[in-house]
Amino acid sequence: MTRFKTSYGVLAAALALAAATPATAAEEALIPPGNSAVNQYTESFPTSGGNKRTEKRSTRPAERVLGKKNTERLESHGADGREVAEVAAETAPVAVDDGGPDSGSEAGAGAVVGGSGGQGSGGDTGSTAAGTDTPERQTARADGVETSVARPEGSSAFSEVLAQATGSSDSGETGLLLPLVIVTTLAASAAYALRRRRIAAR
Amino acid sequence: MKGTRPAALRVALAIACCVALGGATAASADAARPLTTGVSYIYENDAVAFEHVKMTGSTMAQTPLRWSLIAPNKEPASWDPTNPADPNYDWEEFDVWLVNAVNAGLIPVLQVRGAPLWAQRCPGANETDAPCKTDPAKLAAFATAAARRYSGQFGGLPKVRYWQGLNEPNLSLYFMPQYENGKPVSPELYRDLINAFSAGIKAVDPSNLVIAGGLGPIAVPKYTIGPMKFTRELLCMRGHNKPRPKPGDCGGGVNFDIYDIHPYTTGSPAHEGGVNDVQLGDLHKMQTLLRAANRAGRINGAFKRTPLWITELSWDSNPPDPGGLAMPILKRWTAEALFVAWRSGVDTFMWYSLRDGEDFPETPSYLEPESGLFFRGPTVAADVPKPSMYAYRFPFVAYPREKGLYFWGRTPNSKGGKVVIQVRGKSGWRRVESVRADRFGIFKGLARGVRYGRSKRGAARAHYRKGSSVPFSMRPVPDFRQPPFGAENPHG
Repeated sequence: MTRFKTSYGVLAAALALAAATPATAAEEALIPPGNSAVNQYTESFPTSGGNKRTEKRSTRPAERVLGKKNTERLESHGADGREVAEVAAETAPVAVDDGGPDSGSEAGAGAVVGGSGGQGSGGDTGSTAAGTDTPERQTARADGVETSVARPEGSSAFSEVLAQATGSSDSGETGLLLPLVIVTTLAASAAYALRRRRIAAR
Repeated sequence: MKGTRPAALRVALAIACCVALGGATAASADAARPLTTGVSYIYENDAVAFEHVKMTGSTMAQTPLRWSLIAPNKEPASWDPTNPADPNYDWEEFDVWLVNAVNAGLIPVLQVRGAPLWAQRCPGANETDAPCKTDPAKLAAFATAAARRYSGQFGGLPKVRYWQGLNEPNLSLYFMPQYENGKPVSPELYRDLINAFSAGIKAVDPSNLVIAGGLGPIAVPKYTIGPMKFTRELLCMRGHNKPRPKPGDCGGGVNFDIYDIHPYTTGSPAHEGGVNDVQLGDLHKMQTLLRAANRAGRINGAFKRTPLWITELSWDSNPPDPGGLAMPILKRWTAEALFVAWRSGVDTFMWYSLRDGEDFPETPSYLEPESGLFFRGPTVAADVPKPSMYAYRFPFVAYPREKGLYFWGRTPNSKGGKVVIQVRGKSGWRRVESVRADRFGIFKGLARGVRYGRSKRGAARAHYRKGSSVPFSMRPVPDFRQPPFGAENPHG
């Protein structure tokens, strides 16, 4: 029982540490530019890089997304190659971007979690796309308790999964439930394995 | 023992009767709820426009009362901002609007909106329709002046009872700031403003009713705060599923009588948004929050249960917007929107707006609201009603169910009477049910045993006096993505 408690505690602490990130509040302009009237009434929909609006096309240069060499190679194939490069740049997950100045504005005007028609829940809390050039202060809620975390620049897939699991993600409402389920499952598995080993040793 | 069993039986029967009676009462209370309709943002001061509003079956008309247009550009050194007769004010345009609305038999709703630059407290503020840190005391003074002017005792002008405090305070388009250092601040700023506004309006006549909120539907990071979160912050509540009060007394609570939401929906009327959004499918979330706030004593209003209104909702139509909703679907969604709202406990619903916006060739159609109930003509008199207008005037929905055909509707004049439910057969329309609309014109029920519509073919309609509703197709329309003001790229 002591072992169970210890493993529970260690796992919980590890998860908490992995999920916790320094809370850096971004200074926001009083009146952020570039969000049309229509965008404030229209729901976004999810893409591989987070929810995104259909109305705004990405303006990221292909070079930034694909790299100079790859872009040049594609563009050497003429108009078709150029088109492929543009399409790749437009549809690439935002995390692929290196977080240049464009990606910052995109986080405001384009990449948005605002609900997704039953496909995902959104919120107003730090729902920016991953990989923006400014760390975004995010408010995560778990069972009504509000905590603030900030996501570092270009968050990795692992930390994204963790953020979703712990409820610190902008789009998740799972809160503490999922981490508790994971921890309980892991602990139960460990206890079961231990018990089997003891039985085998007898 | 012999005597015990009948006694127990009697008690059980009595309880059963009470439960049954209670249920019956609840059912009839549920049925006897009105669905008052109106049209919002009527800019025209033309008497014909108000006749058109009446034609839509509406009894209410709303317009923005723009503080920055009525007040002087510079704050006078000496004046009385609470005095509606102060020569620095110019009310003429709004006086005419109000007289026209009341002469047409409509109930006016005025939305005090924006702020002159001198009433804002942000350095460098330059927007009058998206004011930045409006001064609550100055708003209260203007509210007093407006309520005095339209108190029914000033210069022969009509009385206004319904007063809305500001527009969409959760959107950066109309209220600044939304965030400071990443933290949402607009709910707290708005709380001070609506309390001041309410004080100004009620000081003139305590029976005046103050409408708060008027919130936009969507959470957009940095720009807007989702209406659920905004309302929780405004009312000092917490918790999504089971809202409860935060510690403290919320400064004595928030002073308003009616709460308003603009649940513009990026899809069908059944569509639900994100956790903090309120689209048509989310109305129940706002009701739950308001009830919890009522129980917690967070709202100081005229009603025990704060009514939830919708003063803006629509979809652009195609035509004229190529990215708008095709008319057959718009007709269906219009009726369904009213049904969903009523079912969610909304008792007042206003459509945005009366006529399509002006067509500017250089402006993309998805940026122009073309969601009017009338196609725009060269003049208001030349406007033509859209087919969807008839669905707004006489909403009717019908869905095949296991035990029969379920139906709901509201008569065009919101009055009671006999309503005949008909279905379309091979030889025309035939009657399947006859019901009586209640005193608010609401009728609903189940045409038992009617298997019509299960094949997803055909249509049903309601017939009242000499008119019929728009036929409601039995073929369901699944939810799909439809931006309320039209898609940018309608052809992909």
